[in-house]
Amino acid sequence: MNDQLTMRLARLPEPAPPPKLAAAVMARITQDAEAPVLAAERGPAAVQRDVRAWLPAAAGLTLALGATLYPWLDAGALPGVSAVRLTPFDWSPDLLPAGGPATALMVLGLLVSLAGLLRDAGARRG
Amino acid sequence: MNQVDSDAAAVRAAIAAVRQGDREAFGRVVEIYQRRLFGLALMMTRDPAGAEEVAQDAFVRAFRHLDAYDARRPFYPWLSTIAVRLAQNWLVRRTRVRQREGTGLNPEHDAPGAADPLGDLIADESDRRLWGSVAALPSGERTAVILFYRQEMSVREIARALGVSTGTIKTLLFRARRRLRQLLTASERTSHE
Repeated sequence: MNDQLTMRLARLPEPAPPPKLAAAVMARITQDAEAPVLAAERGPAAVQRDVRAWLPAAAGLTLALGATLYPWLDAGALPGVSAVRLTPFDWSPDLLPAGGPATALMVLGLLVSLAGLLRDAGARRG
Repeated sequence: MNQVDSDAAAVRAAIAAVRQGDREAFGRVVEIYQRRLFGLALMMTRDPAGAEEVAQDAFVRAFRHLDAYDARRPFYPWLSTIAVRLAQNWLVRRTRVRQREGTGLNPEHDAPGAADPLGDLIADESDRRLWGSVAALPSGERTAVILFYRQEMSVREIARALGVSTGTIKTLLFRARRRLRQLLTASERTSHE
């Protein structure tokens, strides 16, 4: 019985594989092999580009935030945010620097940040 | 030199070429083993789409981990071990999906004699009955039978591929043979009536 079974099992015909199996395997192998190369080629350049874009953006935001917070910290007390009324026409000037150098620094910070982000967007499009 | 020897020599040469950096040489390995590996995957999964997925993944994994292959040993048992593990994972995933979707309780899915893709490819009535009986075996016994009789792997190689002891494989083969004998006898009796 066992010998007969062995012979019969061995004789069973092999089903034909899908016609595109070999091509699909080779396409995946090629894709796999090229993916790390592309990543390695793009890696340092992409990091440098990101640093160039995000450094000014982060610096600008820090400057703007610093310019906003410094007067309050210097005065020794943060404003009572819960007491502020926010309306479309009177939107809490108390939360912003009163004016002068602090406002200028905040605006400068926001502009630097915006320039950094726009430069990054331009570089990606280009 | 017979076909098996010439294929083995061609595979050895192709693998050496791949290791030298000729990626395209792996195409020769795929060409030589795709039929056998797809057959193995189809017998295990009983699903043509699943078999294609398993066969593709097995070749890609074999290529990725070619460094782990010991060139002093035959290539096919190593490749089929990858395919067997992938097919087992595929079966587990499919069982989970069916349980989640509530189809796991439907006995039609794995019932003996249920429509089988390989059965449709076999013209001879007696061969079809044999395949029907193999397909009706529980998955562990079916895998052991396929690897032992169809893929010509030794008990030790099967045990390594499935991650179990050689004793377990011997038991699975013993039970499978007993069950096949019963199934074939019943099937032949039915066909004579």
